[in-house]
Amino acid sequence: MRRFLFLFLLVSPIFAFFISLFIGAYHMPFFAIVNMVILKTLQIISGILAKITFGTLYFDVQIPYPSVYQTIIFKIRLPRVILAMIVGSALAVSGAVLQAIFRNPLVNSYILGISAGAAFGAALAIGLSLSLGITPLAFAFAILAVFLTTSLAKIGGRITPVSLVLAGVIVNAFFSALTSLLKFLMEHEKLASVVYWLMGSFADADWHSVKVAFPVIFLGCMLIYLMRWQLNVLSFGEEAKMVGVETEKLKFAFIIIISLITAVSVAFCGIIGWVGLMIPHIVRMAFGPDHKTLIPLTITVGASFMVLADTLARSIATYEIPIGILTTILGIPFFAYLLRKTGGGWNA
Amino acid sequence: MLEVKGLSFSYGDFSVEDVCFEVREGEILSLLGPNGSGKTTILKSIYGLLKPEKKCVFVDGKDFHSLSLKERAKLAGYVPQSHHPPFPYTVLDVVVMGLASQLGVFESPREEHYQKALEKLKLIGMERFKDKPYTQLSGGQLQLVLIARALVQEPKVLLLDEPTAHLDFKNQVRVLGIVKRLAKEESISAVMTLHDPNLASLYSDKIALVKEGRIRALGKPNEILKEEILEEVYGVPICILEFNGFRLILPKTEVV
Repeated sequence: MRRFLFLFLLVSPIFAFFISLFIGAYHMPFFAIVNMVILKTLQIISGILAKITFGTLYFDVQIPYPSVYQTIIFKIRLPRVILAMIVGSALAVSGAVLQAIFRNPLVNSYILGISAGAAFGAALAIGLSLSLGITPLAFAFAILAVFLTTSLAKIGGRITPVSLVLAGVIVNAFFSALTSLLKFLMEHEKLASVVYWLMGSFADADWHSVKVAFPVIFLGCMLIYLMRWQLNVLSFGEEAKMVGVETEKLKFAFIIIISLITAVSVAFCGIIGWVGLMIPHIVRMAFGPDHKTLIPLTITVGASFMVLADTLARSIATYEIPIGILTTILGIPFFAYLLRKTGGGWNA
Repeated sequence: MLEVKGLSFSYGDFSVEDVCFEVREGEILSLLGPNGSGKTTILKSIYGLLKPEKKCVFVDGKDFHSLSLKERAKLAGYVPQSHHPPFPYTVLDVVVMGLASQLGVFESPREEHYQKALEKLKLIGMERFKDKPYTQLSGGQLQLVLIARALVQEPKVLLLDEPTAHLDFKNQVRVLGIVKRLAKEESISAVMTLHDPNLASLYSDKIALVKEGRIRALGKPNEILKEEILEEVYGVPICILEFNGFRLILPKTEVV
């Protein structure tokens, strides 16, 4: 049963992917969508083959569906679905990694100051009317915030769990105050877009955002996946040195990877809370703390959860509900239920 | 063989000075002394978790501290005072962590590694606990699991930090018995810190009496466990009784 559930969750993003492509304001037959995706994939592969074999098209793939179908699927829904999935994976896996290396079940990647930094960057771009600058500025300030947090937390060459949390609180407070100041000084319609951005949304997803975010997040998740067993060892703190692990170097590598994938996520879709805390805990409660299974499951469950939540966000009402609100409302009852049922799956 | 030649370390106004001893294969040396005398500091400095002032630790003639953490872990195992990790890993998962030095950063343990960990659990009679959450073990079981984790490193040197702390009488005897057996069978040079002079005398080949960061006496238990030396180290009146060739070290109490 557990084995079955494990395999199901591992492949769940595939189901979530098609369900999410299917649901939307414009109705299309489900199998038309599956067919279109398969044919499109073949079309791309044949295109690539043609390119590397100097222009000979081995097989010509036609997609026999109305162009309105293709526009909706490939221009609107597909980039949004992909972005939601990779961001879900990135936020969830970052939470799992930080909880292990700082031996603290209560941290997620926002503790590094990323969200507050990104929020300030976005508010600055909106305030200065740089609509194209939102993503770059959010990213730049997210990275700056992580840099400030980790340098503040470094005491005698080491980052301890407590110093990191404290430094994170300081940096978060600082950037939050700056953001509040900007909001105070802003005109009303700009204030509205800052507030909306802060709630998180995938509504602006397009192929450009996928092209930037996908390589970063994919590579980051791959590296974390490969290094996942080291997290078991790192969660033992100083004892990790006694079995021959260079703890400081390894922690540093993990923090860099996590900062990049979280900052990219936040820069494109605002602040989506709770996923980084909730998904690793849910997986841990169901399958135990061994990071050999925890990390791959966190990646896939994070993707599935986020894309399904986003599908709900854009389809349950006539207007779109901000995803950040929905992830919290959806996730919390389930999280609370698991907490009561399993006693947490960690040791306080 | 482990050689410590003039180990010194200072931190604030506390210092360990000029510690010298050697421990041959199959031998156990106990560091004995009151709280705060620097026993654990000596142990941590030997492993290089604290950095001593000059090169002073040699394993089979090799300068131990010039090696990377990874190479050190292949030569020496460290059994810390147990504390709980934040997540309830199974006992087998904890023991297999001892193989970290033999795996690359991108590698995870495979079946053969779990087998190796299981072997060491069998060696100390703990294999039936392999799937139990580490966080639910008793003090004695925790200590044995940590010893098993050090053993999968296949070390030539084993350092144990108060292996009997917080253990009841039975578990003290059990844990030290296993350490003694392993030292002989696996030809390990073991160094441990202890509080109880009687246990030290029963289970060690050599004892170093530590006071204020310095070794006050070093030798075989029967040579150095003398009333006047122990009184000087511990600062309490002590009497020694001989019984069937054993020496019993007792505090002189004023019995009313």
